[in-house]
Amino acid sequence: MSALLNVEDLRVAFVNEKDSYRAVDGLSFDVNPGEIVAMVGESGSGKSVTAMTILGLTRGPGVGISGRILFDGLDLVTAGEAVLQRLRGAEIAIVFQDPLAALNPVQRIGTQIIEQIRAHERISQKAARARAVECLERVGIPSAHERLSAYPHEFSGGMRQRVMIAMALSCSPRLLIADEPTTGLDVTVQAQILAELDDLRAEMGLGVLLVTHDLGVVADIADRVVVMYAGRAVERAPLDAVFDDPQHPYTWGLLGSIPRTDTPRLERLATIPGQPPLPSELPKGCTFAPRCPHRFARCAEAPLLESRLADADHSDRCWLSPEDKRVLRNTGTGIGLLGELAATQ
Amino acid sequence: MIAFAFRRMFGSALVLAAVSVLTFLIFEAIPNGDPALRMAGQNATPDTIAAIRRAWGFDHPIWRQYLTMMRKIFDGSVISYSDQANVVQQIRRGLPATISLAIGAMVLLALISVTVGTISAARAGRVTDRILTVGSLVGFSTPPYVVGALILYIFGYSLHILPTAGYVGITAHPWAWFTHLLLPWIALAIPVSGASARILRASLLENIHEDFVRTAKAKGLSRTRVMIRHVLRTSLIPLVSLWGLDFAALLGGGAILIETIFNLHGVGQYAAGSVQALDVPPILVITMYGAFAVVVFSALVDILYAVLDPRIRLTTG
Amino acid sequence: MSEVTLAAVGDGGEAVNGYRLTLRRVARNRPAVACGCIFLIVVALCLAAPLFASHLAHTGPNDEHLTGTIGSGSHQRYIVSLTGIPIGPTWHSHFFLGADPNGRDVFVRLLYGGRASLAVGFIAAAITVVLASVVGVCAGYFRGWVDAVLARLLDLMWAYPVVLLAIAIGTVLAVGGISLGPVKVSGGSLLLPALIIGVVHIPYLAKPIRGQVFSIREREYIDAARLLGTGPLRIIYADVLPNLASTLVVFAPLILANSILLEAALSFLGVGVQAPNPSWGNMIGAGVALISRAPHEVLVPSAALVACVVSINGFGEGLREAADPHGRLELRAK
Repeated sequence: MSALLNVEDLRVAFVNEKDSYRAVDGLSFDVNPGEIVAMVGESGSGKSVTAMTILGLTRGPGVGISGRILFDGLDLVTAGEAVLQRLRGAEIAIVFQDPLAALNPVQRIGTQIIEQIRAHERISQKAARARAVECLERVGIPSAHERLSAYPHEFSGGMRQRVMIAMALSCSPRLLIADEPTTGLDVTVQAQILAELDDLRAEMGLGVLLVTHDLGVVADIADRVVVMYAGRAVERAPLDAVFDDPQHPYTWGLLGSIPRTDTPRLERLATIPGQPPLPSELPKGCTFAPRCPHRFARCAEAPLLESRLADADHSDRCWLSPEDKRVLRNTGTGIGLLGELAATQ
Repeated sequence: MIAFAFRRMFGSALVLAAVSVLTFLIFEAIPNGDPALRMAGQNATPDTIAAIRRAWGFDHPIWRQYLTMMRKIFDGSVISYSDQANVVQQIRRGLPATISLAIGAMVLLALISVTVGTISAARAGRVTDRILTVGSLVGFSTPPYVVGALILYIFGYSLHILPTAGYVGITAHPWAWFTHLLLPWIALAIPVSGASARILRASLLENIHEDFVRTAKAKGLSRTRVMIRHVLRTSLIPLVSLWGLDFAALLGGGAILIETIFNLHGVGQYAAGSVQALDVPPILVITMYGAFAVVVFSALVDILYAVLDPRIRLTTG
Repeated sequence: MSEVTLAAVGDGGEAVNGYRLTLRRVARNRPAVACGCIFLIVVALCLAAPLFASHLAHTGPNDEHLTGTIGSGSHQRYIVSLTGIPIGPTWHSHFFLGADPNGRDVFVRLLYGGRASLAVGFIAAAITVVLASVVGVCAGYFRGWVDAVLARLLDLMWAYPVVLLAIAIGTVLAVGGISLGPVKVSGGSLLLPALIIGVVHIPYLAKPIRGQVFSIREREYIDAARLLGTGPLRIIYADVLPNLASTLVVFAPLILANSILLEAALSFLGVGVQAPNPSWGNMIGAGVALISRAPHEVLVPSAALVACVVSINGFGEGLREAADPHGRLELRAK
């Protein structure tokens, strides 16, 4: 089964007279048909930029993009605008955060969905309308027929996001990119939306690239996880592997910072000390080293993303040996950044 | 939506009443001397003045004066004492010219502002934009009568391409109607389009970065479609309401000076002539009607805005 | 009709630069500074009118030379021809820009007219700024019924097309002037149009100020001051006004430009500066009748008026850019 989407060494830099902001600095990952790949990281890690670059939405003066993004054998980095336009919305669709801002506030949602359909397929207004109704029903919006003439602000947050998803899927794309689709929504609504996405994925055989900062969301539906830090993937693994056997200290930090109900309440929530580096000042060597309590001499050399375990699917970007990692990551009752290395630095 | 419209119209009715009172106060209650004397205009005999005093009720309490004035205006029985003409009839005679002027100017204004504003925004920061910006600046700094005088001189008197004065009814002779109004339309449109174009440009530049524009691109729509159906459409909404108000101001006599220069004999010119003769009754009626036009249009424009931008309907009128 | 009037939207307070920073930033904007200089030159020239009149042109603004001649020998011409057409620009110190149908020197009248137009414009703008600030601050600060009344009044004034309102009041006051208690302004004085124009523009500035004061008032330090028992006047003076300064700095040039334009319009119609005193407006008005045969009558004062207003607006644009680079204060035309 060949990959639906193949990102190879993607680099995206925003350049002005003074500096160059390397938002994405050598990212590689795949998405296969029918699977959900979650891209996790803090704000500024380059996840959204990656999502938008796949669709060519970051192109412009002052933006340097290199690497390859292969979709169906076509390199999206070098593809012409006309080609990308045909793909957008039809083969690759994207759902954004904040649907209230992402939908045109003065147009009825029916109009917006139909516009997308008719931009890619030659069907009549009536047929497009019927399809729009179907799309809304598929995502679980009641009275879809009447709701077509509603405006975005007339929906609740969760419903609006469903509308966005419906619109994105209206032309049966093969790849869906979801950029923080549940951020800002109530927890219960989040769960519903994720469940919908999962169902749709199964129904339609979609490949989904889910961009999020929320590990809880990841745990819910992802099949594979790409952990991003400072524009690079620092860990890439199937879901279970990431939660059971995480290899990179940053991942430990992320996991350790999830509040748990079974730890004593009086403990402070664990955080990763420090701040992510500015995209204009990326450290040489391992980009996480400045914040990593386990750094040692070798970290001055930039680690490669490779699999150091038996499982070839699980790669990480850390020089520590798997044994050391196992020791360091366990902190009493859970996974976190603090552990003691018996061996010396 | 209907509820919003009703609320708005009801609010307008109140404003109209207030406008009538204020107009009344301006004309008959400013501490300045004898209103009858003022109304009589120049060269009035004591008999005329006494007659005026009786007809308008200046001896009566002020609220009765107000009612008398309102009755006279709506009866159409206001008479100018300088030339004994019935004011309302004169106004009616001048309406076709003024309305033609206003509508044509607005259409031209819309065309110019949208073109200039869109080009400016599309080429933002580059030479074309700078030139257009300076042009807009000069445009809205130049009063319409100056533009009018200039183009009248160039096209009318120097080049003899277009007629220099007068108004021809559209039913009488459509082409002549057009040629006679072309210069006045341009004179009125240019200054206002300067301001409109700038506003549209700012609005477009702001809206281009909005999330929903990004979504439109992500849907695979062509750049043109995104620009026109999403960016332009949303950016035009605030402009449309402004244009409505400009139109009302034009109708209400704002084109006074242009009509004078081009001798169009519309309501504006009637007002100008009355001003020069210090003939008060016509000015009173025209002011009242002018303000009424603005209030009514203001309400219509608000309703139009609510039609175009459904988010507004949630707030009260 | 070229009225660009204003409605400020949104919280301009924090996003708008303080006036000192604004002024510094404008100084770096060369086109804006150039416009400012042009305006100052125009003002200086107009102020120097008496000097020019007495030393160079040797004629006053109202001195008529209907039957005079100019030039000598074979180049001698009547200043005003037998058919009533005055001479065009001579580009010499006498009748530098020609004469008007009454034989008066156009350039001298232009300079004196500029004095009148600018004087009325400045006084009117000052009246607008002061009164609008008072109304706006009171409405925005005290809110409640004070605001209800003031806001309604502003809306009421807003309903009148500016020119029409000014004409209406102008006509009413033209003959007798106005006497409000101890204040008496006669019909022919310059103060009258200045007063009318100043008052008529009040809603256009008062509404944005009111909006701004509303948002300033919401801020915590105002609450703190009130809780401390500081009187409203002191709060207004110390906390509200400084924040308004940058807004005023942005709007002032527009108000000035509009005041000058309105004065020209009123004088054009005969309700502003009264003949025989010159003002750019009444010179243009008089010139329109002769436009086919003596175009300089209209073109000269028009050029002066446009140059003046363009330079004010150009500088004003620069100010606005410097004070509010992200467009938080939205200028909307009416």
